[in-house]
Amino acid sequence: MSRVLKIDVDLPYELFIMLYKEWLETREAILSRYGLRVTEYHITRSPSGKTHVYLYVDRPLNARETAVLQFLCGDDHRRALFNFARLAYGEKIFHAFNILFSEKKHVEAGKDPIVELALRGLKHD
Amino acid sequence: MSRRVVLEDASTGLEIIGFIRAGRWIYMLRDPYTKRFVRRCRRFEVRYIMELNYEGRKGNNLYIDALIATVMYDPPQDLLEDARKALETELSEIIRELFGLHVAGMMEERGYEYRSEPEYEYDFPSALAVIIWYHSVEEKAAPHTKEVEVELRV
Repeated sequence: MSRVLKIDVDLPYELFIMLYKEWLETREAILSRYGLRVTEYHITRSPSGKTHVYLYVDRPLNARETAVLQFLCGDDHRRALFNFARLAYGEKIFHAFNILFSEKKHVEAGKDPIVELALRGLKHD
Repeated sequence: MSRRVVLEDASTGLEIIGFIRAGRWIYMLRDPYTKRFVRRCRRFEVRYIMELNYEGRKGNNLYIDALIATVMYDPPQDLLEDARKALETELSEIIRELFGLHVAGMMEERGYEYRSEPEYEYDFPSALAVIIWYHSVEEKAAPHTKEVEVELRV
C-alpha cells in the first residue's frame, strides 16, 4: 500500500509550472470522485527536462487503485500500460516497479556493462 | 567533479542533496521548488532498474523487470559513483546468467531511483536483486520471480 501517486507528465517543466495550478485543481477533482484528498504534492524536473509530480493522498492505496489513479491523473500512457501489466506481480512488487527514473542511463556503444562483461569473458578464454 | 550531489527522492518527491560539511558528506531532503531544507537524510536506497519488453515473431515474447537495491549511509560522492557502477555490473551479470548475453544486451530502459524510505533493507555493500519475467499473457498471471542477495564489488 502507498499514499503516493507518481505522475510522469510529458511536458517541459517550465511549461508545466505555468499551468500547474489548473492541473492540480483538475487532479483534485478527479481524486475527490474517489473520496480522496491531496495532502501534499511535489513537482520536479525529470532527467529529460519534462515533469515528475508526486501527489500524496489521505489514505493508502492498493496497487490497482494506484495504477488506475495515476493513469486518470495523466501519467504517461506507455508507463500506465506497463503498470497495468505489473498488477499481476502483487502489491509489493508492483510498488517496487512503480518507478519515476531519477536518472536515465543512456548506454553509449562500448560502455555498456554487458560489453565489459563480454570483454572480460573473452579475455578469460 | 562537483562537490555536491542532487538526487530526486522517489519516496517523497523532494530532493536528496549531499554536500560536505566539516570534512564529511551529509545529506538533506530539500524542497525542489523553494530549495528549503526539510530534514536530514542519513541514509537512502540506491536502486538500479532495467526493463525489457520484447515482442518477437510467433509469440516469442519476453518481458523482464529487474532491479537491484542497496542502502547507503551518508556516502561520499566517489563511493556513491562506485556503488552505482557496481550495481549496474552486478544486475547485468545476473541477467546474463539467467537469460544469456544476448538478452542482457537487449535490456531497454535503464536508470536509477533513490528512496529516503528504503524498501529493501540491504546495507551497502550488500544488495538485493529482484527479477521478474514472463513470456506470454498466460504466464503474466503467475510470472517467474527470482531474488538474489549479492555483495557488491567496489
